[in-house]
Amino acid sequence: MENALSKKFEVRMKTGFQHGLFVMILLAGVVAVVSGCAGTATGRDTSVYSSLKAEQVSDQKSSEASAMVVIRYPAMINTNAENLYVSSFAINAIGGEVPYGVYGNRQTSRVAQSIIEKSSYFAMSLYHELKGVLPEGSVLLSPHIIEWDKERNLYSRPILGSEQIPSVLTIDFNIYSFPDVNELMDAPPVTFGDLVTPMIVVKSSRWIQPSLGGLLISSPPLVSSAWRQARKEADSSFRSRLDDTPQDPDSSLEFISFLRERDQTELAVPLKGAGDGNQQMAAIEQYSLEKIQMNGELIATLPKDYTVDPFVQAFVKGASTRIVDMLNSIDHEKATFFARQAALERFDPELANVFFIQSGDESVRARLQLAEALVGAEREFLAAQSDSIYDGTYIGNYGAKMRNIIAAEYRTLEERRQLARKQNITTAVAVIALAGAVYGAVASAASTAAAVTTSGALLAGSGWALHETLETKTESNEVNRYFLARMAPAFDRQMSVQMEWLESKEVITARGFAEFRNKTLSLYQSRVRSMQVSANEQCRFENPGFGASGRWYGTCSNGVASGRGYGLIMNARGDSLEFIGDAQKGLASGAGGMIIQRRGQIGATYYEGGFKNGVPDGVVRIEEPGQIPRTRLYKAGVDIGKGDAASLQSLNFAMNSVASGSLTP
Amino acid sequence: MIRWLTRNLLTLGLLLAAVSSAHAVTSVDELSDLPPGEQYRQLSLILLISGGADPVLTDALIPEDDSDQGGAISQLSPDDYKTPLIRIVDQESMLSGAAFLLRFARESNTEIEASLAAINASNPVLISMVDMNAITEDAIIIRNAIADAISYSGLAEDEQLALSLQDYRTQTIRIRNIMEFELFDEELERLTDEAILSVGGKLDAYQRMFDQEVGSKELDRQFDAAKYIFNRTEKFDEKAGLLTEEIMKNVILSQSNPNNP
Repeated sequence: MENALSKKFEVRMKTGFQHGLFVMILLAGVVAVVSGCAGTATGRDTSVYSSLKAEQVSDQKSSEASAMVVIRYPAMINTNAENLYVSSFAINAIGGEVPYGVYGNRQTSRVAQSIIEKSSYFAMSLYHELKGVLPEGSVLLSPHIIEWDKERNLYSRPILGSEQIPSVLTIDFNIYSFPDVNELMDAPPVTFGDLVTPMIVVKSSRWIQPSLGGLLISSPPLVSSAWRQARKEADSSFRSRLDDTPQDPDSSLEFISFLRERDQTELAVPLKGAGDGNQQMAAIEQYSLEKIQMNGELIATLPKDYTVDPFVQAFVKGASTRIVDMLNSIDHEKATFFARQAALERFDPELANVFFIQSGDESVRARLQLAEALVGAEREFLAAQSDSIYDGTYIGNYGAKMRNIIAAEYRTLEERRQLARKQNITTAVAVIALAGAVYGAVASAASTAAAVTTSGALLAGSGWALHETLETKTESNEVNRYFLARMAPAFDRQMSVQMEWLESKEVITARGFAEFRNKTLSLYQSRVRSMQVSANEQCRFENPGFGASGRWYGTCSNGVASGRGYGLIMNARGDSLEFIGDAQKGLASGAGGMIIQRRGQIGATYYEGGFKNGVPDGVVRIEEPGQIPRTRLYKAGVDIGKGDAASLQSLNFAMNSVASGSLTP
Repeated sequence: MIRWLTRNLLTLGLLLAAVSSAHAVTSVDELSDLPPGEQYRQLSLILLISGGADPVLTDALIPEDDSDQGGAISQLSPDDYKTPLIRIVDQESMLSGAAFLLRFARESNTEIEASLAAINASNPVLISMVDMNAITEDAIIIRNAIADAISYSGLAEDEQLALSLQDYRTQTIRIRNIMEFELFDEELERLTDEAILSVGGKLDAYQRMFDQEVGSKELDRQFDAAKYIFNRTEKFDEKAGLLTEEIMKNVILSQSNPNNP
């Protein structure tokens, strides 16, 4: 805080104020801050999504193996990653520039840590709401731990296996607060007390919005890094299939990918608003950064009564309505097709290859039914673990502490708002000091567990204690720091319990999951029968514009693609082509879908419909970034006019009768 | 293995008994004298045997106007069907019996399904105890026997009939696969429940350990201490001294915990 004030002072000195007027300047500065932020300490009442009309999720045919939504969020941080995480957080501040002097402040560190704490807490609200509106076991939690190593830099990894389960949608969720606490009461986004700034990125399979890599919704600051991340993942997956190179395991949270970047250019990724009329356009729906103000009365009573979740009312209900809308507009079979194939590849590579053929053969159907039941059982197991995380985080000890923290912060904010209204300068000085003290008065804890949880504990203690202070006589910051430093270990121990619980959850669940997988895999292997269909692993796929070095996974004849399958090919420039559908003599021929990604280009071009000799032929639907998809008529790869949408051969991702049968007449 | 064979031969006998009696049974009502469980078993069996048999297949076995359709069957005792020998030496009887059964199932399908539903509604507990796997295993044996009989008869030389027969055989494999899947799924469900309980139990124990170790009263006490220090009264020094001592004890305790190095 001192540094921050000094910084302000230095700035003003340079503007020519007299040195002897220091006290007046300071007070003037405080007045300016207080009066200036009187209107901005509040957020908007409700999210843009709150006006959406809730609908029930439609009953779509989907695989037993698939979930509908996986919620990814930051939950823990490794001590090794802490410094880089905090500095990256300060460097990549959203909503303004952060003075260099603030980077190393304890307050900055506390804000960075509070993001993990509160994301973890508020993610539970989203989980609970979606769980209530979607079918049982179809929503999974995927808490992440933030890590660092030399090769991968800052990254995050999931602590449960939820992301190995095919899912229609993946939601990256976190809350955000501007790093500089001196600006806490000003315009930048903040999560403190009754104010909350959520950030989300919603993704599906690349085949759902192929021109934009499956990115569907994003908070604008995360768009460019999300696109780069999506491209990286797609490239890695592509190369892995093309020449058997190991796939890059990085599946970091979008927020962490964003923080990892330095001086990356802002990309001109096409965006559209949530309520825009151009919903048909192939663009990423932007969920603008919203500083939402939750219901203060509910916040004030949170520690005693949390039956009504203020975050649900302010944001989650609307957001989950949007998610349900999205689920209703997406073909679930298409969205999970490749993820299902990847899931099968883990334990039955032979079936995974045949999967691309979408064979109706009974031997394939029966084996697939067994395999998908296996993945379905894993989904069920992980759904139970997600419930357990919810119970432990929201209903348990941790949730109670977080509610104390939030209520204490709210009281602090309310006090400040009242003071701002009264323009009580003397007390306002104390309040300004408070903001910094709340976030930064205690030394960092040493252990991994404590490192993550300290901030929350301190917030609870310091917020509460300092609030009480305002009613009597304000002591100096020195006293506050002394006191809080003394208190820190006690709070650390309290909150590290939650951390250790989460860690234990990872260990116990991982051990339990591995044991479970061994048993189920053994059962699977003892029951599967051979298939009457096979897929040649070394089958060639060609394209007139890309050459003959492609690879085909599917029906093969004389070493070349012939029948249903999935092919990929890359040319010398690094442009890539993926095709799923029918082929003849090594070339795309028949109904199919084709993604062409030109190197260095933002977005891809997607063709779906008829193909002949490797090029579009017949009625074809074309999707390009930033444009409304159009239906055209092609002849030998040449666009010859408008196409009749009714004659379009849509790509069918449904497997033949995989759903379990019943012997009961 | 012997037990399995014995059971299946008996089942075959029962099934063929059903088939043989079917020549006399011209409507589902005629089974009403049997106990509900037995009615349910026989009707289920008929449906399972006839599933996937298209009209081409059924009509090819015996012309529809053949009034002597039950004759061959009536000359056989149900016991004759218990022996596999009958399937080898008396293919004609096999075929005529199958033809009658398939046609009966086709023509009375609605009636059979309604009857099954009614039995189920009246005796839900009893029907829940019916061993569908046993019935399915019986049906698979009979279906294979019928398909083989058609193959041996030379009828399958007709291309259309060969396709119908292939469909019928595929349906038999599907029935087997579904039966196997249900057994697999049952075992998988058991393993899943077991794993969920096992992991959940371990975590519960872990949580309880923490709850005992870190009572929330202790935290409340820290809050009280904080409040007191910041709301000084005349007795501040005296009380603060005590509280500081308590805090320091806690600090020492928590810092000495191996989990918090």
